Amino acid sequence: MTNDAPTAPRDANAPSTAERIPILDARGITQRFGSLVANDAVDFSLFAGEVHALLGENGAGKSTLMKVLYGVNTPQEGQVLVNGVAIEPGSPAAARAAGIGMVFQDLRLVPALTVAENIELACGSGRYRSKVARDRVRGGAERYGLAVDADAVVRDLSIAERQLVEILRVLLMDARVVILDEPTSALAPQEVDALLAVIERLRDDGLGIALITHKLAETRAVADRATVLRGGAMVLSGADPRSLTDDELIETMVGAVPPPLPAERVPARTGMPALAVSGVSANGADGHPRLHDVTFLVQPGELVGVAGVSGNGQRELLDVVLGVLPLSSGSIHIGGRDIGRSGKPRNALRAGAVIVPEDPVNDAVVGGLAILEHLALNGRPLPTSGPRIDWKSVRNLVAGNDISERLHLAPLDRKVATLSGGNIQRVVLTRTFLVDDPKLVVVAYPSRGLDIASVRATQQLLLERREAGAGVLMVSEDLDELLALADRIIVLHDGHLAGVVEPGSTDRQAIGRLMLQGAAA
Amino acid sequence: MTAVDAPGAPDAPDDLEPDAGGQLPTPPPIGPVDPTTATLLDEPGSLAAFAAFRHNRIVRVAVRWVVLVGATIAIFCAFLLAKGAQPDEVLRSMWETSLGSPDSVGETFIRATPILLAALAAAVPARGGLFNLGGEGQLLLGAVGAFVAANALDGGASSAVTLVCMAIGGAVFGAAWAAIPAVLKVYTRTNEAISSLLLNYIAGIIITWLCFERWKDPISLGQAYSRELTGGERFPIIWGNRVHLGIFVGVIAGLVLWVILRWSTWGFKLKVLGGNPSAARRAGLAVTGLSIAAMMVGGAMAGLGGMVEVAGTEGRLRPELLAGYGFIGFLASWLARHDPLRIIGAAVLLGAIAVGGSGLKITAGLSGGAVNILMALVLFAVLGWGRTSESEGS
Ligand SMILES: Nc1ncnc2c1ncn2[C@@H]1O[C@H](COP(=O)(O)OP(=O)(O)OP(=O)(O)O)[C@@H](O)[C@H]1O
Ligand SMILES: [Mg+2]
Repeated sequence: MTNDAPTAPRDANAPSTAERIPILDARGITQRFGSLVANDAVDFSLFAGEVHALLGENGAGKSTLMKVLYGVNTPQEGQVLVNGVAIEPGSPAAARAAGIGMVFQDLRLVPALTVAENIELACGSGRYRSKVARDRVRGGAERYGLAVDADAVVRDLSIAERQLVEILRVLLMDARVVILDEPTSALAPQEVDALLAVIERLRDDGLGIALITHKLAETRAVADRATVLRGGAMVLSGADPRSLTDDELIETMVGAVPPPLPAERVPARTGMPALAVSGVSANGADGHPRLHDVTFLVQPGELVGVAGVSGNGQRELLDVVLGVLPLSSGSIHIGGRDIGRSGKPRNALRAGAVIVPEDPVNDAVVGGLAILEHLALNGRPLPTSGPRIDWKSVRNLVAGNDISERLHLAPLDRKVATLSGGNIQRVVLTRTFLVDDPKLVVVAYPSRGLDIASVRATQQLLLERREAGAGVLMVSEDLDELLALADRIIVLHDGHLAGVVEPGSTDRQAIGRLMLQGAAA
Repeated sequence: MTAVDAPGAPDAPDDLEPDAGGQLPTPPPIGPVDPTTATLLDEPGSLAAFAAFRHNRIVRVAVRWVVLVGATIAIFCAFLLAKGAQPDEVLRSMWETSLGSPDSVGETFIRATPILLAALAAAVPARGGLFNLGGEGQLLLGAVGAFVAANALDGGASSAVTLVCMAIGGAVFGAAWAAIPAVLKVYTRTNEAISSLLLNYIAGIIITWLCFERWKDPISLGQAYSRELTGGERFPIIWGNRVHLGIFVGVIAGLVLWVILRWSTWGFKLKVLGGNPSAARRAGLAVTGLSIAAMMVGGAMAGLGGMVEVAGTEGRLRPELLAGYGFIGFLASWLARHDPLRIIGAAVLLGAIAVGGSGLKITAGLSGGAVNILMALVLFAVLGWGRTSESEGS
């Protein structure tokens, strides 16, 4: 951290900042959606050379506020000033012209184009020259230390890789204000560190950075000021996060500090493995080999974690277990049933698997449908009465237990297109946990985008599933989460199974080495 | 069942366009929003009142419709003037031929029926995210199927039985023709829009061959057409001397499909498939079967349209039978955003324009194609309206 006062104001109310004009200043923003007040007279300012963290539980209104700044939302009240001058509300073009760049929570790249083409689309001069575009991407990736392949087609990238592309895209747009909406939600620790270093560099270059995150450590690492929203209202406005303890911050965000996870675990059972992956090789969606001779078991009542730097085969592993991707060799059994090699999700689902896919927005939800309708699409045969779907039984299923309350599911007839990112994740998680007696629970990034309280609720539900005898296969970018929950962790490197480690007996460095160097480490 | 079980308000826009909210680099706001977005400010004062007035949804919608209808008619009139016609005369004559008298209303319904069925042929696959541009060919094959059934029975059954068999024949032929692009799509990833479109030309060749060779009416001299269907093979006339019972086929099909798409399990699955194919697949839906079924149901609708035309007004198979109706139907489906109820309205509107246009040559010396301009303007106006109302949502 720098300590020269002009570049990093520590307190918005300090006299020294009173005469400085913020590069971005939003005042009294009120944004309603029908009767719902998503932002209630919220202020948010950003000085040159500072990182301002925006915190709060899922659905608090963080993304809504940032979309107001970027001109995607038109607020009913309030205005946005850039360098003291009001900009036209509701116009992303005006916001971009004023030097504001934003990475959205739900990524918005064109899947069929390459990374270079996507970036050129956003910040090119209009005439596309492939060499110029690629050089620009390579140069940028090198300058900021982001691992981005200019020629990769976005469709083939994992979520985490796409996140890096989005970040690079905004950086290359020469923005003076960079809004990052949960940029680290799918990144592995090393990638998070790299990104935080980038953020610090941008701050030192005099940019203003608004950072939305659910992770305290990130706030602690880079934020100069923090604003907390709750139910659309400001509960903390531009305060120095160092003036608060962790517990105080968590309490302002979600109300109460969530209880710790139980330390005691019933041992895994023996018997028919919940999942048997033997000698599996498979090609990715792009036709290139992505998994090489992977073999492992998940016992009933066992939680196996999958660690690895993104893009090392996690996505493909999930896809072959679900049967979305055909195998080129090997076999997969779920609860003893061979799911075949043809790539039919039905087989895996009928054998007793339930899944939370890597990319819920693109692979799990239908924007125009209500939450209730999603809960029926859990992979089991649809509940019908005569020619119709028995919606009452779906409602009863939800009402019959406390899962939806524990995950704070939004009202059942809300359309998913109007939900916040974390609330969409809650829908997908609720749907998965509502399935009765699954043999295998496959979850990718279970706590992505969730607030601290919901993360804990999700972890507890996963452990309960494990205890009830289901095998759980969990891919996570968060090593701490893996170490806290998993009975065993398998590490993927370049599509190979680099090693299997026991959380109790291995240190983080060893796992990190396996992730980066593979079995040779 | 009460409406309470059904998720989503009945009149909320429930068909998100397949690519709405997609991965555009400059993102549009998230999808359509609750129609209750209208917010009345509760502060007094003229400014607030004005804002409230402007934000009132009913006012906005009404103003937009007036502007759109006005602009559409104005552009069409400008075209007529440019062609040296008298706009007021032309519009009056169009009104009189299409809706001005009971007879002309009947003519509009006759014309609207194949349009309506062809629109349903586009709408059902569209609900599942598929483009069926093969309405033309499926209409023709439906007419052929009806003839096959009529020839097979050869007057040996009662009129009702004959007509039902002809309807089944038409639907089966239409469905089979639509199955071709569906199967190609599912198993070889051929784009169904292109293949269904190209199949229209093959259907045209089949019809031509039938009319010139196989089924040529021996007493037709130089003309190429089939024998005329007679007696029990024709729909009875119910009104005037042209309006036949077949005009109800389209309306009934539309209502039945509306119920199926909105309430049934199958309709729900189709909606999921159309909304997000990847999610449908991962939820274990039988995507292959659903896609083929959606195209075939669509094809069956167009097939019925072909049957109604030959068993109703036309009575014969001719090479130029129903030319253009498949495309007008496609347009009607998009106008109505693939909602069968709204499609009934759209088909009547386009049917009226088509009927109104048929007199243009005589009254104004314009080519019959001039009304296509009006149809296109209507399409732009309505689609444009949909766009703006969506982006105003948030
Ligand atoms: N277009 C919209 N229409 C209706 N409601 C909306 C719309 N966009 C957001 N909302 C609602 O506004 C509230 C705030 O949403 P927002 O996306 O800002 O939350 P968030 O703080 O970013 O949460 P998360 O941490 O889950 O991303 C939520 O209740 C959400 O459902
Ligand atoms: Mg958000």
